[in-house]
Order: sequence, then structure tokens, then C-alpha cells
Amino acid sequence: MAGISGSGQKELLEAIAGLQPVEKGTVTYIEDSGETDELIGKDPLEIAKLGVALSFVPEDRLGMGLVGNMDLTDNMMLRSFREGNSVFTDRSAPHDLAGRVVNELEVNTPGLSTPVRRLSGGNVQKVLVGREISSAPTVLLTAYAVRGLDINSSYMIYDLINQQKKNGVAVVYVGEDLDVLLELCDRILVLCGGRVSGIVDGRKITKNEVGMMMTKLGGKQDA
Amino acid sequence: MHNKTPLIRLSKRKALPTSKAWGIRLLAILLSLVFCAVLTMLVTDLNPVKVFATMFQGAFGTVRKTWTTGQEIAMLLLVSVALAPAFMMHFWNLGGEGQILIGGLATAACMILLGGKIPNGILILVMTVSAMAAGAIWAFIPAFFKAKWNTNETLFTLMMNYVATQLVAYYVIIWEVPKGSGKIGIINQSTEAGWLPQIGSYKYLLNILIALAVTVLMFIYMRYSKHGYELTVVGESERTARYVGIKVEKVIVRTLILSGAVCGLTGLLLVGSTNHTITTTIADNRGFTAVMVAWLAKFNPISMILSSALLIFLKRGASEISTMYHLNQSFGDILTGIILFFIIGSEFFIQYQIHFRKKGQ
Amino acid sequence: MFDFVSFIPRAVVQSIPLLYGSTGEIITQKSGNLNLGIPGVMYVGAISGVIASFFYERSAGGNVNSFVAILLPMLACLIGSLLMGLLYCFLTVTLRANQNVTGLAMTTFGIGFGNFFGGSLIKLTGADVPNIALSATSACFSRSLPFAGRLGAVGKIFFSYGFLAYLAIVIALAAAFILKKTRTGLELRAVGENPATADAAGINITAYKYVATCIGCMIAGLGGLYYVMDYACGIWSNDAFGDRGWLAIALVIFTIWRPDVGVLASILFGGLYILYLFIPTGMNLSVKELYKMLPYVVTIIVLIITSMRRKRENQPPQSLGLSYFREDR
Repeated sequence: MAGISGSGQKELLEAIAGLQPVEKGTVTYIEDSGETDELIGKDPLEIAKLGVALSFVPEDRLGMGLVGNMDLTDNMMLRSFREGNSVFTDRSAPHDLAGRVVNELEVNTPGLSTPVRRLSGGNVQKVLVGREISSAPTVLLTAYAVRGLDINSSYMIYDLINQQKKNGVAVVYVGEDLDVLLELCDRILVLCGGRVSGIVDGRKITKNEVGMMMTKLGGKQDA
Repeated sequence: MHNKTPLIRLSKRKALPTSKAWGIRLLAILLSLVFCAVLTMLVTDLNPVKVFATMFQGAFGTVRKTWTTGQEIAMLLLVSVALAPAFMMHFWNLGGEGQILIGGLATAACMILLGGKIPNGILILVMTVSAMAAGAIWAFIPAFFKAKWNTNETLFTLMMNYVATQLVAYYVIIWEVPKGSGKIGIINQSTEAGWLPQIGSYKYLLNILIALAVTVLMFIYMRYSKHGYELTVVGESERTARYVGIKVEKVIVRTLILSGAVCGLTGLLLVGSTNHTITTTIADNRGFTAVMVAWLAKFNPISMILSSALLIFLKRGASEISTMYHLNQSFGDILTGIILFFIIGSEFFIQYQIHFRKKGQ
Repeated sequence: MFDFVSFIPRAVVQSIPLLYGSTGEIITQKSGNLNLGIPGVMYVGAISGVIASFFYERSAGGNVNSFVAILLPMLACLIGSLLMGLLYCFLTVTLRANQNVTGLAMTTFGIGFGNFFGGSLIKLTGADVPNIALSATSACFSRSLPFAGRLGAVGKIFFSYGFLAYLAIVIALAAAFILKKTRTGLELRAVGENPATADAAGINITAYKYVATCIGCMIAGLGGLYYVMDYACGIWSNDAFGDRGWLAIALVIFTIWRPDVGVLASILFGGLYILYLFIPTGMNLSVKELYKMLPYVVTIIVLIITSMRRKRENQPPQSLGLSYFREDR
């Protein structure tokens, strides 16, 4: 998904995840068997159960999806704390998950019980993206996953995303770097001012054309 | 161009090791105690050692006094523990006073209306359930409106206190004994119907045990249960809570029902066990003091044992000084206020770092 | 027949402390500070005036100069309340402490302070009077307009009050005007609604919070002074002031943060406070307690309705209760 920041990417992803009330339209989730589900009107929890995972890295990084004062384990548990029949939370699985994410994504942290707000921005992102990917989603919605990360970390994330593609996960990637989009994406949906400016083939389109569509609806040059 | 960095600059600390943080708090408490000692010296001509000796005397001087101190700590602790989950969720439940009173009223109602009519054991059960339910309802009302319409809970819960006080005042007169005295007096004095059992020969042991048990339970609830996790997330970041599918409204209401129920339980103990009567002042401002106890303990129920003990020690100690030197009993409030100010102020040094301009900047 | 002529003046007299308290708290809250210490401030204001007046009356013997007798307690009251306001601001604005806890600590401290000196002043100064009865000072405070007595019912309803009562109304109306119609008022409201934006626009957040809170406390303190000097005829009894401080806070909500509405609303609240005395006998004492509940119930209803309707002008200031830290911006 391409578009100037603030063109509606956040709202669109949230609408798919069930966090944004929708007035009109449909969001169809197509299972492997061919069965379809209408996502609009569903509870976010139900949508999450279908395997739709949303990892949105906002400008302040902690605002959506992470709790700054809780440690890595507790943040990992945000998705999975309901599991199990006991009234008590089970921290062992999230703890292991935290360990795995820290290893695989090379997250720089003093320990697993460090409050997340103490980590540097890039590491916070790795935790957030790592958590979503590890939930074995069927649809991965990710926005600005590499915002402010160094090259090494960015490529780690790209590799993860490609891995997800190989596993058959539908990935929606919202980003600002057009080069990356053209490399990673099969199809590109361009948003402009809250409307769809075009849906193009990622392998054939040029950067210029995408840029034009981002600034002007339809992307046609003035005659 | 003179572009000097400011002389004093503030920045939020990333984190301070807990030992250092407690060090700062301890220093603040010590400083405040010194200040209070000086103040007391000015007013009573006592030297500081004698001041503390007298305070200690007041709290632990005799066996009876020690038990009373224990009871006072237990009651304050119970209310603070009640407020803990609400505060952890950043819901400022200032209605503890009213929730205690309503619980006490329900208790008294059972004792007066049903005393002698049903077996004592059942009566006590009914009293307990109705006290906790009454407190729960009293907290539910502001919680409901906060969840639905974001009504300011600080002000709402505050107002509910005074509605409760007046309700109690109303019933005190309806049930007054003897007629015209304006007081209810000891309920069921002859039959002791509804009087909570006394363990052995120690009048307050039951209360103390219940308070400690509830404290431990609340600690486990807040730290290890799914509910506790949810309310923590809601308190830290409502956005994130919704994001992960937590039903924020449900959590708010559920937590406040718990908070109110424990306050109601306190009312039960105050009416059914300690005083065997009800007045409008039976809560004795515990609802408000508990806010400070809870805050001091950083909403950790186990730490509240210490912070409530500190405040009660101060209160009873200062009361002793006042009695012995014919001062007004309110002296204790002044001391408590001062110590609180110091501790409140010390939080600043824990959360923020001061940078002074170095030479050449 | 309902005796309006004696009811209204008594309702007004009850309303003045409430009006002072709520006007002061409105100004404070408009800056974003929720000062739950107002009950304590009113006690401190009252006792400061009492202390000053006590010493003056003793030193002046039988001859009290009415000008000094009024000026000294007022100054003392204003200073005492100012100190409380400064304390609150130092803790919550400079040290960024939690406002609820600070306010409640101040109420505990303030009420204790008032009761302590009220009960112990005699002992501490070694005076030999049985209790604190500042009748001379009180007479000065409660002297009403000279022609009031001659105007019958109208005189009683409108002109029979001490000067502090009229001052309260003037202050309330002035506050309403300043808040709504002046630039200062606008900037103050901006500070309370969105300090980050106001800060970016160059408004000095710290200064506004300090000044608003301190002025608010000083105004509220005058309410305590009025209570002791005028209503209570100069006699201090511990805890006599009661929960009026909290009622003043209720009034803030009830008037939707408008001091001009407070003038009439405080009379309503004051009236409810004493209504039971005017209801025909047959209604017993218990119902009087229910009447006393009315101001609070009514305030709760207003709270609920304004939050349901969500009209922007009727909401509490958005940053009420929150500390401002520029680096967070």
C-alpha cells in the first residue's frame, strides 16, 4: 500500500482489523478452501482468531500495540493472554516467545524483564513486528515496520516478510520507501487523499508512475 | 549570538533502579520526620527523642493500644487494597468513603431488621453478601457512566460519598435508639445478633486476619490473573487494550465492582465487628487516607501493609502527643500532611533528572 | 405560606462561602489544575483571619479601629490561602506530582491546621478567654448597608449582608467576564484545554497555572473568612465549617465552570442546605437529611448529562488533573 503519510493507510488497516467502524463496503476474507467471510461487523477478537494480525508502528511507536511500562514477556502476552482455561495468566509461553524474538531479530535489550519503553526505537519495532509475525497469521497487515531502522535491521524485517509470503501468508505492507515497495510487492494499492488512486502490478510499474498516483488521483499528468 | 542552554534543565529519567528510588523515598520520609520533630518541639518543648518515644508509646504502649493499632492498620489496609485495582487502571476512585458507608448501612440494616428473626449464622452470611453488594453497586454507578460516556470519575465518585453520608444520616434517625437521641447506639446489645464472631479473647483478630487475607488475594489477582493483566493494560494504554481486543468498558465496570465490594466488606467489619453501630463518621475519612496509602505503595497491595502501618503509627503517635500535652487532636493531621508533602515531592526526583548548565555551554 | 423573606436571606448567607469556593476552584480548574485541597484552603483562610483578628483584638483592648479590624484578617486570610496555593502549585506544577493525592493531602493538612489552631490558640498564647469569640471584628464584617433596615422586605432580601457577600458576587461576575471576554481568560482556558498547543503558541504555562491556582485559593479562602467572621459571628468551633468545601467543588460542576451561573446556583445550594427548617413540621428530622443530599444528587445529574451531550463548551477542561511536561510534546 503506497501513499503519502496520512492518506488513509492507518484507517484502512484498522478497518480490516475491525478497529475502525465502517460505513460502507465489504472486506472479504477468502479461506484456502475458497470459503469467504465478511470481516465488517466482526469483533476484532474474532478477526484476530481468523488469523488477521495487525502490526502498526505509529510515530510514537508505543501508542498502539505495546505497553511501555510492561516488560517484553508481558508485551508478548498481549495477543495470547487469554489462552488456557485457568484464571491465571501463563507467562511461560510468552517468555519463550520473547526469547526467540530477541534472538532471531537481534533485539538489543538488557533482559526480558526490561520495560519496553527503555528500549531504543528500532528495538521496540522489532519486538512489535516480531510478535505479530510469530502469531502465525494468515493475513499480516504491517505498517511502517522499518521506520527509522538501520539497514541491517530493515533487511531482517524484509526477510521475515518474504518468509511469510513463502508460507502462504497474505501480507499487506504499508511503507513510504517506493524502492522497497517495488522490490517486495506483487501488487501495489496507491492511496491518495483517502481514495484509491490505482491498483497496479508491482513488478511492472515504475517509481514515477506510483509517485504520480500518490499525488494525484489516477496519476494522470495534466494535459 | 548568545544561545546559552538554560541554567536548569529537566528530563524524564528512563528508569531508576528500584533501590535508588526507595532510597530517595526513605530520605524524604526521614527529612519529613525531622521537620515534624522540629515542629513538635516548637509546640511542646519536647526534644526529638522524647517525641518519638511518646509516639511509640501511643501506638504500642500497652497491649490494648497495640491491638487497636493493629485494627486501625487492618481497616486502612483493607480500604487501600480495595482502591488498588481501580487506581492501577487509572480510575480515580475517590468514593471509598461512600462505598464503606453504604456497606456499613447494609450491614446495619440486616442487623436491625433481621436480627433475631433468622439464625445468627445465616444472618451473618446475609450481612456479608449485602454489604459487599451494596459497596459494589455504589462503585458500579460511576464506573458505568465512565465506561459509557467518559463521565469524569474523580468528581462522580466524590459526590457519591456525600449522597451515601446523607443516606446513613437519614437511616440513623429512622432507627434511632432511644428516640430523639440522633444515634443508633449499640445494635442488638442483648442478643448480639449479627455480631461477627470474636476469635479467642482478642477483639480485633478477625478483622486483622481478614484484611491480611484480602491483601494477599488482591496481590495475586492483580499480578497473576488474566483480569489483573487486562486492567493493567487498560490503565497503561487504553488504545493498546482495544487494539488487542480487550473490552475496556467491561474491564472498568468489573474492576470497580471489585473495588466497591471490598470497601463494602470494610463497612461490614466496621459495623458488624468493631463498633456494632453505625454513624455518619464511622468511615473516619479512611476512604481518603487510603488514596494516599495506595499511592505511596505504588498500588502494590503488599507494600500497602507498610504504608498503612506508617500512616497509622503517625496518627496514633501524634494523637498521644496531643493528649499528653493538651493539644488539639488535629495535630496529627498536620504531621500527616507534612510527611505526605515530602513524599509527594520526592517522587519528582525519582521521575525526573535535573541537569545544571556546565561551564562553557 | 412559605416564608420567602426570611428564607432567602438565610439561603444567601449560606451561599456566600460556596460561591467563594466555587469561583476560586473554577479559576484553578480552568488552568488544568484539579485542586481537591480547596476544603483545606478554606479552613486555612478562615483560621488565618481568626489568628490575626485574635491578636489584634487583644492588643487593641476595647477600641477596635474598624478599618484595621477588617484589613488585618483579610490580609492574613489572603496570605494563608496564597501559601496553600503556592504549596499546591510547587508540588503539582514544578514537581509534577499527582494532583489528586496532593489535593487530598492538602485537605487533610488544612483542616487539621484550622482545627488545631482553633482549638489550641488559647492555650498556645496563654490567653485567659474561655473561647475564641471575635465579636468586635465580626460586627465590623457583618455591618450591612445603613439604609437596609428601613426598606422592609426588600431591604432584608437584598441589602442586609456584610460587605464580603457583595464582594463575592462582584468577584464571581468579574471572573466570568475575564474568562469569557478577555485575552487573558482565553489564554488561561487554552492552558487548561491543551497545554501543548498553548505552549507552542508561546503562552507561559507555568505562570498561568501558578497565578490561576493562587488567585483561586485566595478567593476560596475568603469564603472561609466570611463564614467565621460574618455567619458564625466571630466564633470559631472546630469542624463547624463542615463539608462546605466539597459542596463548593460540586458547585463548580453544577455551574459547568461558569462563575456567573454560580451566583444563583450557590443560592440554590445554600437554600437546599437549610430548606428543612422551612418545611412545615410533620416532616421529621430524618427527611432533612435527604434534603441535604439534593445538592450532590443534582450535581451528579449535571455531570452525567453534560458527559452524555458532549457539547464541547460544557466539558471539564481537557487537561484537568494532568501534569504538563514540555519534553513530552
